[in-house]
Amino acid sequence: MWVKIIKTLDLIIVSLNRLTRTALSIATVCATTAVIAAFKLDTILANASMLYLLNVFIVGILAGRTAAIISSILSFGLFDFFFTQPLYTLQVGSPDEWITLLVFLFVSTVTGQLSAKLKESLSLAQKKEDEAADLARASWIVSSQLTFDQALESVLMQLIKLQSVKCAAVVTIDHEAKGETRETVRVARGKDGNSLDQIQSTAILQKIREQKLQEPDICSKIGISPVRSGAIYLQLDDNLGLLDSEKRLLEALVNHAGVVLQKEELSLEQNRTQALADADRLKTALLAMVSHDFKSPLTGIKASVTALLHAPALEGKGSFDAETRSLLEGIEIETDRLDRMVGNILNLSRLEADAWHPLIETCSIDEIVGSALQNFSSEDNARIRVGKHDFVELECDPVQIEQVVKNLVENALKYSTSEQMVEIQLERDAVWTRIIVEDRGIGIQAEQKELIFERFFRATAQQESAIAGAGLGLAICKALVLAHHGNIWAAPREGGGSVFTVELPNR
Amino acid sequence: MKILVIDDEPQIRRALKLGLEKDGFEVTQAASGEEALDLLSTRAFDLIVLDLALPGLDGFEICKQIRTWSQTPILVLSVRDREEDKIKALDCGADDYITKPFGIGELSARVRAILRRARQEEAAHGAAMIEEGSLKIDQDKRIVTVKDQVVHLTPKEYDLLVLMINNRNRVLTHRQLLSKIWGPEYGDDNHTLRVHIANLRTKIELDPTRPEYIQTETRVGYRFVSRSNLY
Repeated sequence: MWVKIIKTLDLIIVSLNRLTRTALSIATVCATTAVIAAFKLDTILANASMLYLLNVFIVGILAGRTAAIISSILSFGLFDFFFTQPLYTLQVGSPDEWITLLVFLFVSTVTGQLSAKLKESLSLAQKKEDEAADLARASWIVSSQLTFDQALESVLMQLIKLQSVKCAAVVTIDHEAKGETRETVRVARGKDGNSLDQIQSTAILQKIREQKLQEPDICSKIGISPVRSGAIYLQLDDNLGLLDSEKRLLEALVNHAGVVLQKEELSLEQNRTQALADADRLKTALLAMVSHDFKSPLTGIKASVTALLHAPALEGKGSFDAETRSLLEGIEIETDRLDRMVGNILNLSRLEADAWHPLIETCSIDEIVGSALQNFSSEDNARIRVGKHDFVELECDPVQIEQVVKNLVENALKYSTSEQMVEIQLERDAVWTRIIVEDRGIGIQAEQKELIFERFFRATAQQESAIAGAGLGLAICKALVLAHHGNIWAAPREGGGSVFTVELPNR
Repeated sequence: MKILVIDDEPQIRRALKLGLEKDGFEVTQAASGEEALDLLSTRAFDLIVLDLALPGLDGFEICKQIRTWSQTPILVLSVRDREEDKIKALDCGADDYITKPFGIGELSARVRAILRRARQEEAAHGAAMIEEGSLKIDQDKRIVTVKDQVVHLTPKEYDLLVLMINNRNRVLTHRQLLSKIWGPEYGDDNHTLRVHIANLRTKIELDPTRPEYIQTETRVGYRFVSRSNLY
């Protein structure tokens, strides 16, 4: 009950201004004096002083420090004037009474200050509690919204409830190339809670873009992602500033809006990634289908012709004369060639469709080179020399790098005579691992050393030659090496021939 | 020996039938997984040749279903560059794969390698003496010679070599090799396997940069290639 009474009194007194409060405290001291005089409570002097102290204490609680000091000095005066000998003068009879009065003054001042301080800390605690409740409510309202737009709107609806806010807007800023920015108003609300019209929105955008804010407007920036940021814009009433508690609420709401915008960005990003993954899957599926469509007839032809040629151990040479046999063998050889070409085209389209990502793993360079060399006949292998090297392990996609080595060696063999050797050197330094394929073949012209890695390019010298190939091998090598963040280049070799270098990062 | 060929391409089925029959196999054809499962429920086969890319019930699914009730060896036909499919097929219970397009000679060698192994499993273990070109292994004394020169293998290298020879011409995945020689807990330790294979190659291969016996099946595993001992 007491708490209720004090709270009610408190509410009444808070609504008064300082002067009225001081006047009121003076009045209570006078009233106390009257009560003491009327009921003759001063027969025991200590009683009177206690009543004055109580009065000062209450004034301290209800009306604050200044009022407490004024009422304690006034009490001191009135106490001296009315109740100490000689009466009705401010003079004091004996030194003892001086001590009593001074102690009274000291105690009443301290009491007044202590009670005022108690009151202040109590009301501060109350204010903090209210503010925390407000913030919690604000965040609940924002986070309980279903969509990002609704959440942003609820931020604005809370902002425009603040007394001094005339209108509020959430703006997103996209940072584009060359330092340009593109601003968009996401939601904007006026004091009445309605959306702002086009003209008003444009005016806000203009202000933000030109960074010309008129006092006391506020624009709080929100970081979202490296290429996107946001801002909350508030147009304030000229005469009213924001209270500290309102500033804190604003700060909390700006943070909420930031979280909402970040979440939205994340979900957009997720959608984009999902779309890319879907497209990737589609491309892979399409290529697998095309691959299957090509491979099936090739498999049919190869299986059929080899079935015809197949000579079981028991039957000796088989049942064909030499001419038929050589024609059938021709079919087999040409089928293999067609298969290689189809393989190259498919690999290139997989690479171009970005549907053949390297699967990096630790593997052995010896195994990669060894597997690549398995693709060549023993006569070809006799022409290939692998240099000594003092490392084994390598981080790469073994299937893809094997393809690179195979294509480079195939090229080297193709463009040199059957007596010329092909050499594979393997080197490593702190950053790179290099696979170098050297030949003594026809070499490359300086102006063509970039062009040879282009699709369907064949060096002029070979265009009319009988050397087979559609000019895809090196293009595939380049794409595969680039996918590994490596480099590939060609150079003429000292003493004739060419050098192809593949450089892969050691990771 | 009865072989079931499962492929949706009639030309491939015909070619396989002609080729394998020349080697004395009895070949039955199935155009789809469903048809194959029907046939398998009523008849016994010694080996199944299975195309991975089938319409309807796909190769992996058929493999898994067959493995629920039968240990009949399965050879799968797969497209090049799809190592993950090969590994998946082996995990689903296939015994080996062959890459399209393939020659009948190659296919026949794979078929015989698988059948040989199946027979060997029935007849406990192989001979005490193994001979592969210039490579000889005395299993009783655990002695390996290359061109009549004794080579010293560590126990692990020896076990690895014997395991691979006993599965000659058949792919063994990294996981299979690691768990058989080192134990299942080493299943992912490809580095250890690579080092042992490299050492083994320097000891038994004439040219370790171009291995004749132990061939790398990139990303999948290794295969001991036997040129003399197909049966």
